Amino acid sequence: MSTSDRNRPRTLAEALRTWDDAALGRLLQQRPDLAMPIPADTSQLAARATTNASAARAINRLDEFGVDLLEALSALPEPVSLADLAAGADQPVDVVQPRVAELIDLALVWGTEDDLRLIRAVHELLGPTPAGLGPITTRHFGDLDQLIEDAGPEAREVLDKLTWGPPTGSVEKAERPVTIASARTPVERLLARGLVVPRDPNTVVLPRQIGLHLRGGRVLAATRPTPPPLDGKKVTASIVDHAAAGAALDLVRQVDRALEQLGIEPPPVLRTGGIGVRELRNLAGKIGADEPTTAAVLEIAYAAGLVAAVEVGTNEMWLPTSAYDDWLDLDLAHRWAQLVTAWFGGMRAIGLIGRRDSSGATAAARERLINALAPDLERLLAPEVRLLTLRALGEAPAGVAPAAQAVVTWVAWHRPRRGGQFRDELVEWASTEAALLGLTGLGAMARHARPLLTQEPTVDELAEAISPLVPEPVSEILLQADLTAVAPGPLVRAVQDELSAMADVESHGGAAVYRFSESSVRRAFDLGRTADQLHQWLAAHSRTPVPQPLTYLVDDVARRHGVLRLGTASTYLRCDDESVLTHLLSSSLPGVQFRRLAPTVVVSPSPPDIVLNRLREAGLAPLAETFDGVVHVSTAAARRGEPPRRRTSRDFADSTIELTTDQVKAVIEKVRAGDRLAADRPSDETPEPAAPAETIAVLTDAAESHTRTWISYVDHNGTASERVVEPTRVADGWLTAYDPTTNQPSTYALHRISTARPVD
Amino acid sequence: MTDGPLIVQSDKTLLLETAHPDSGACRKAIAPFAELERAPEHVHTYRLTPLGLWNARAAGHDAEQVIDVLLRYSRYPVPHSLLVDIAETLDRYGRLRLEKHPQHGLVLVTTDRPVLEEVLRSAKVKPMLGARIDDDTVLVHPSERGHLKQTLLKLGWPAEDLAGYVDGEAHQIDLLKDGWELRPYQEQAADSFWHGGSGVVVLPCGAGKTIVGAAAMAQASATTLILVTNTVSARQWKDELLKRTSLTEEEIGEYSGSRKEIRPVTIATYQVMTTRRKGVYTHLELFDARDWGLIVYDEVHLLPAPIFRMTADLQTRRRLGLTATLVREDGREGDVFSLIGPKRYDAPWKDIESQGWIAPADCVEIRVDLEQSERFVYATAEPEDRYRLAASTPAKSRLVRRIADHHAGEPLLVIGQYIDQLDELGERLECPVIKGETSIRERQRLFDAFRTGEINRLVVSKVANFSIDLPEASVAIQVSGTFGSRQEEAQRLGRVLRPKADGRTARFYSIVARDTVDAEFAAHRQRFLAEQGYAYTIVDAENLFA
Repeated sequence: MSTSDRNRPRTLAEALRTWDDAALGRLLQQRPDLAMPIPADTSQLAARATTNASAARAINRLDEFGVDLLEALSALPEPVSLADLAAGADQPVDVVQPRVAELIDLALVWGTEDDLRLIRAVHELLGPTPAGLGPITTRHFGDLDQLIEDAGPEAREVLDKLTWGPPTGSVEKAERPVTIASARTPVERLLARGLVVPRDPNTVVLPRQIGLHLRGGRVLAATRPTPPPLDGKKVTASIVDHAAAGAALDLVRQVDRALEQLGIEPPPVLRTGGIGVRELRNLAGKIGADEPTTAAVLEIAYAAGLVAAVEVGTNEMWLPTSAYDDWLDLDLAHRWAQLVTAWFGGMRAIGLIGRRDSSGATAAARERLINALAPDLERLLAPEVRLLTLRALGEAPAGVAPAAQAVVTWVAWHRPRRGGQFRDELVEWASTEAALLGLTGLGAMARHARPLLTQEPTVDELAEAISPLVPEPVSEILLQADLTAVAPGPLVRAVQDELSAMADVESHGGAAVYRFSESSVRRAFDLGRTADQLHQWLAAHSRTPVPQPLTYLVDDVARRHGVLRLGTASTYLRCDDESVLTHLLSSSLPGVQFRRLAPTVVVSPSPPDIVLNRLREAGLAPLAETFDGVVHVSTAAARRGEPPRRRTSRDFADSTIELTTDQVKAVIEKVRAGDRLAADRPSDETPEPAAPAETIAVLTDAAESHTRTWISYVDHNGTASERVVEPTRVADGWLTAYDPTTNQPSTYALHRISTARPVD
Repeated sequence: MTDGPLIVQSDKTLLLETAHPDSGACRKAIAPFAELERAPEHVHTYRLTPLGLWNARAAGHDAEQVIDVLLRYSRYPVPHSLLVDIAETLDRYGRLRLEKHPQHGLVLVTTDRPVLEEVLRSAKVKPMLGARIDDDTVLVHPSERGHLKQTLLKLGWPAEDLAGYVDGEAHQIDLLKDGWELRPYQEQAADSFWHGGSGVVVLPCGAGKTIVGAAAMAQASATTLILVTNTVSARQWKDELLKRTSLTEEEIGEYSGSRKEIRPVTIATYQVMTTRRKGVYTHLELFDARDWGLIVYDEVHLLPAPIFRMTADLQTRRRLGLTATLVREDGREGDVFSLIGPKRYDAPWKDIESQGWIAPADCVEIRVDLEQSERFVYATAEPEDRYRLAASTPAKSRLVRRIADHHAGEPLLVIGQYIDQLDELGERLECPVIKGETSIRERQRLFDAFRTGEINRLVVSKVANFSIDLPEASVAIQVSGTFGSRQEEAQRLGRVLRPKADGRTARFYSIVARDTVDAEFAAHRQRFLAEQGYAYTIVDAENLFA
């Protein structure tokens, strides 16, 4: 929007009133917070646009040059013309002009080309020393050059130090009165001439006029109207795609293996959330990756909803979800695409894992290392920086892998006011994760990652982009005489599952090498396969004849498998006369099952006493025997008890023991405390246990008002006790309270306190 | 994506499909930097190791070439992390160099100062170095050249050794090519060794490693010390050198338990070199007895630890290691690399076989059943006795007789571990037995008789595992062995691999007691050969020759 065609408005509101709908529409689109709630009129819109919060939001989205222009505007004495601003920024007018128009569109700047105004909030947000320039002084200077020369060369050196900011220097007794005549030191000479002015007793500051003069009329030293270049190594596009696709396939495999492992050995969810360091290391070993990579793999799977904290009995475990099974049914390209979109939209700053938690509430919490899958890893800045990082990689010239530092600088130029060092770290993490996800190869963006730059891509679009690089699944394997099987590509899932049942994976990658061993073949038998099934399956799925050693291995294991059988039974019957057992099996006894193991042995799952009774009812006379074969005699002997131990005088022999004074004191205190407790005890004899929420409310109130409180407490041995305490704090499931009986603070687990009553 | 023969796995193995039309070209391209790990029938497995990559770097290959080869032949996308890893690994080589300084002698020089600082901080490296000459150069104690290289390799900063070799005392040695020529692979092996300076040549048993040694000696034309496993092998070396080179009887000395001759070419046994008296290696001075220009280590996979230590002091002399199986059951392959030198030449067994230089072989594993009574004894035996019980079951002896009868007239070896069993077999087959207590003279006589065809059956213990050259043996029967030793199995097969005059296929029978530890060990023993592409046929004893 041009500024010249408006009649000089006096406020932003007046300026806005002159805007056409298109301009207002652009404003609302770029600063949507202005529309919520809907402003009643332009004054309200202008008022809202000039709040610090809204202006900060708008400035935070500006790039470095935009912010520089605002700084220059803020620093230059009003009125500021476009030409002044261009000179201040040391850039040609035609470079500055369109950017100023943008700032006007954002309602951060208003006015005309010969009188540009900043909204007040921007002045405040940029602080008292915009562009590193001090405050404007009211003093009038004559010939500044002459004045500076008078102060002497040492004073000039001091000025040079302050010129490009910060404009302040510390000096002792800055506010002492000095005249040109009494000035001795260089600083005093400056103070006497008003070239620096005291700000507080220990600081002097360079006034803005002097600063601008020393800067030779420029406000900013070196502004960059365009983003810094994305320089780096030369790379070949086809190799980049290849390497990236390799990483992508690797990631899909790692996610699969990690989740498979979680399904077998689910790690517990830590009390603080997340997965333990030891469990993570264990998992890393299993999937053959380092720990940070494993953490990232888990986080990506988590973002995609493939893993979740699930209650198993009384414990919480990290388990693959049902979405994992659906994910496994997808082809490789879609599996990858699903992971990428989940990561791309996620809020979690994965790079924080393994660091100390600086945002922790307590000192102990701040000491703790952040675990993978821990809660509270969401950072607003994360997705924004992620997108910018990808854009940086995408905007690098073709055939260039931009250096890590170049990407950091590029993103920093685009969001100078966001995050500082944390932003730079986020950029590095995003680059690392992009490489892990196979969005970049050898540091350059792969072609199949481009859809992420243009729009919110769907899983299908991404999958289609990578699909030319994804190998076709195979369903045939190569069997070799050294008892290995090679799958020359990703296996069809059904084949993979079956092969995994009978052989161990030895090497992962685009292909897979499996090794048959006695134990792996036995595993297949344990899963219910038979030797014939294995032979048939191998013959059907091998591209080559089944090697003889493998056939022998299967047969060898089959011969030994299941030779020994075991099971459970509660009762056995043995009888040398086979016909008795045959008769027994043919007649059915109510509620008792039999199975014949051998001609003379029958077992039953029913307990012996029941079997015995049923057999007697059937007119048989069985004899019970013990486990070692001795006849069990069950005479109906009358029952007897153990004689009690009687006390003798010896039990009282030590009654003359003397108590120490401390012990006496302790006893008395205990007694007194008991008295107080009795007095304080609620009138109704045995209070009912209260609802936990109620108890916590009572205790919280008591902690705030320091009210003595009667509590009924069950310790970890299950012993109930009552006491009166003075609660000081209720937090994290614990009550901290002063216990008058012990004269020191104690802690009580809240869930063990059955009742609490204030004592008045 | 290409349709290449190679699959690059994320665990740094390379799978090469042999049936693919490009597999030959691909094999050639990856051989310089990837170690062949297994070569069974359909898919060969190579592995990228830091050692292999540094080896390639030493031979002048750079990261770009390696990555280019992988991408060119790879069927699937190659993971980014792997490419980065290769580049980083290769980049570590040569940051440190051992050089000869005109004034200071042997020095360690760096092109990357932080690397030098890093290794200087290692407590292990410190004592091997002397004063720092400048920021990039440190003095090295000349005697520590080998140790330093070994230690730097372990730290992951292999030093490029540019300090060169001493020429040694010149001594004219020529190959006498009267009616024979170096085979192409022998010539290549000797050349690769010579250009590399020092290193190991890996060739199958029976492929003529001695000739490679002789060719290397001819190139060096200097006094040579040859270290071999035992006296019989020492005599064989001597005979071979007399036959193949211009060397005469007077120029070749034997340094063994029985003789102590030091001549321009001296053949010493490991055993005598490692003999100690009162804790001192008394024959160590042999290394300094002459200004050797070349040291040859036969059967380098058996090199005993003390010789490793001595070798560390010999880094200025050219060293040639020879072996068929660079599998050390003690896992000290890294020491071989840093002290003798990297692998300079390697040929898969099946390649040499297909060229006709070694005999094709049928490997047969025969399963015998223990008798019912034996099974009971076996089941109740102490674990340490079980292998002996299973391996020396009488069922095996009966079977050996049957096999011997089947191959009547063919030169046949029976190889085993347990003397009782061997003696019994000797009686059963009515043939002599060679074991540890047999005198050298007697062994020599029996081997000669076997070579001339005077006798055609021999029962031998593990004394004949290596280096015994019995060209016409075409049937070997293994009845027991040193537990699960892979290289022993390969060496024993090697006894029958010399090409036969009539082109016969050699047979190697391994008799195994079913369902015992014998069978488990056998499976492990066969692994090396199975990975070299020798597929064992398994036959039940009752079905043999049926």
